[in-house]
Amino acid sequence: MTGALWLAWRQQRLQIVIGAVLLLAVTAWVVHMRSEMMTLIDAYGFVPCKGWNGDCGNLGTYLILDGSTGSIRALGLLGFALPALIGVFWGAPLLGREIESGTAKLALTQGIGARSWFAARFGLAALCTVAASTVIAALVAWWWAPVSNTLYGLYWHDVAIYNATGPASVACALLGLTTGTAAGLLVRRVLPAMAVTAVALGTVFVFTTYFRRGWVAPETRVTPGTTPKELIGSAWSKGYGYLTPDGREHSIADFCQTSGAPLKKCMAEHGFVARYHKVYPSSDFWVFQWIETVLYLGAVAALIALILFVLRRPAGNTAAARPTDSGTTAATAATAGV
Amino acid sequence: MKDPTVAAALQAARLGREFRGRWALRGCDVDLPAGRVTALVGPNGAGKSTLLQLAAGLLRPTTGRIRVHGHAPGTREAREATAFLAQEKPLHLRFTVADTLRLGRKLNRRWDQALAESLVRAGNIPLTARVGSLSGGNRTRVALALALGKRAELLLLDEPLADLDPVARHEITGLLMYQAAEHGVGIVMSTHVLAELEDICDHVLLLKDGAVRLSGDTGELLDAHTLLTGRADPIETDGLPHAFDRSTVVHATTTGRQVTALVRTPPGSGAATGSPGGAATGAPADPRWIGETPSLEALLLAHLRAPRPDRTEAAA
Repeated sequence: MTGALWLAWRQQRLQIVIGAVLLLAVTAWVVHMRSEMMTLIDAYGFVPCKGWNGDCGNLGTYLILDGSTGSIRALGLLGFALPALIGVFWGAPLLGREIESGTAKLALTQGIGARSWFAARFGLAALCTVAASTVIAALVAWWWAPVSNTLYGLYWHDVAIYNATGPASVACALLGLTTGTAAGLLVRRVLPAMAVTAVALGTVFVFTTYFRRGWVAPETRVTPGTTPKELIGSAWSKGYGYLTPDGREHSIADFCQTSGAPLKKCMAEHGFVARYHKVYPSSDFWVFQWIETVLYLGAVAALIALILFVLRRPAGNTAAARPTDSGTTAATAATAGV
Repeated sequence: MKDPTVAAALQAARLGREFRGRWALRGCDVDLPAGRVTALVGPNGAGKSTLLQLAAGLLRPTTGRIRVHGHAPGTREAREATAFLAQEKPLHLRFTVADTLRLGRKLNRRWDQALAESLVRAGNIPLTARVGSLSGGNRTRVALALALGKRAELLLLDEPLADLDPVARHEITGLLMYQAAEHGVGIVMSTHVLAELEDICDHVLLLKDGAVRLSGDTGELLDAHTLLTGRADPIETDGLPHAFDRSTVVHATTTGRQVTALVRTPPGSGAATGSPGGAATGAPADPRWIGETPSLEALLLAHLRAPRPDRTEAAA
């Protein structure tokens, strides 16, 4: 195993060093930018006004948010793209390049088994992935915290925040690496494996983005008649609507898209007695995060199991290699050794 | 002939390997004794590389079973007992030569650094050179050093001599022979260079169309065949005498008015004694027919050219 680790380090040390230098540069940039932001906050006595709760339009708020939101978003988008970057440029070549160039044959005919070869390479890459994504996630959270969920600023459910920080972002980076690794092993060529990885991770992103809100029940805020609604604050809106006396919900998409006197009239016409507002309070960030963390880590475990199955020793297969086992011969042919 | 207490170097039973519906190897029975130098010959696509990769544990058999020194390929024991040189001689191009040898040292429990280094030095390859900057022949030499440094009992070499210049080929061949003679290392090497085999190998395994066509001890195989040369019989299409037993003919070629035929010598008749044709081969005792022991190259060529042998021959 130590030999396998040496080989893993020898082959990945260049990317690890480059990655570490880049990470260090990003950290230095964030430290500098955040300290400038904090100087402004102190100078203007900034009081964050969470969400669309009123007029925050003073000069100080404008300067603080204008100066930092774009940069925080850039860092957040880097964090968002990190799983795909790691998957495509580190995961896909991790085994794919070895198989494509034939050097896998070299490694696998020495004293180490295929699984320890994989474990050493993947383990080292996974360690670096977790470290890098944790650093990025921490930087995003640290920089964004003083101006979090502020009007004209970034909200917790924005892609640049939600996908760039929290445990799910680390788990997602690990999923990126694992997806790339599995793709490289199964596709056996680097470039197609990169494409497969990008498409797979894109699908995961679209899937979680569209189905995320189906996994958690929103909080329903009801206001009778036309009394003013509770201000949304830092919550994430899922939809407005009207309630009939029987408690049935009618979405604003279908009724009374108006306000003031016409709204009163419209509500009376349809027999609506109250308004509802479905929201996810900002504390739901952690609910979403943990659900996705579990999902991502489950996918990682499944992919690792698949990789280990493909890399099982030929010896374990001798029973299945009898000509009578026609069912399994197809499977063994499909999962040709590397 | 064979000591049953010693596991065969390479043993396969009904071994088959299918790639997307095409059988690269099918129904192969192989039994190579330990410590022998076996030439694995056959036309392109005969299944030589497939057999070697199956033995090295890089491919899973589709059917049948294979054992190297009694162990299933891919197991720890089998990996330690064998060293493999792939046909494309894969190496990490960004590694230095020293790093490449270090890889062998780090990944193997047994490792002979002195042997590996001496092989590299003999080719005047600096240890600090990047593998990617080496010529094809030098890369082969480094790959061979990696394989030999492993001190395995069985070397599985896929065309090890293909891109070496004649001098290097001679030197490497000598080195392999030395390993075989001095350390009892068994070698199975695929090759297209038939002319040089006679001095190298003492065992032959001929594959064609994914099946074993000829297998056995070189000396015994040569004794079991006779090369007949004579004037072509103008009446017969193959030029052989009318009364000749065609079933013994492996392959016959006519060049002008001369026929050269490799025929099987029936058991008990002894090696080709020089008696012209002789009763043994079924040919008339005709002084115009000369029978002689074939060269290994002639023997292999005839079998490679033979259209469809009805059976597998085994002399050992």
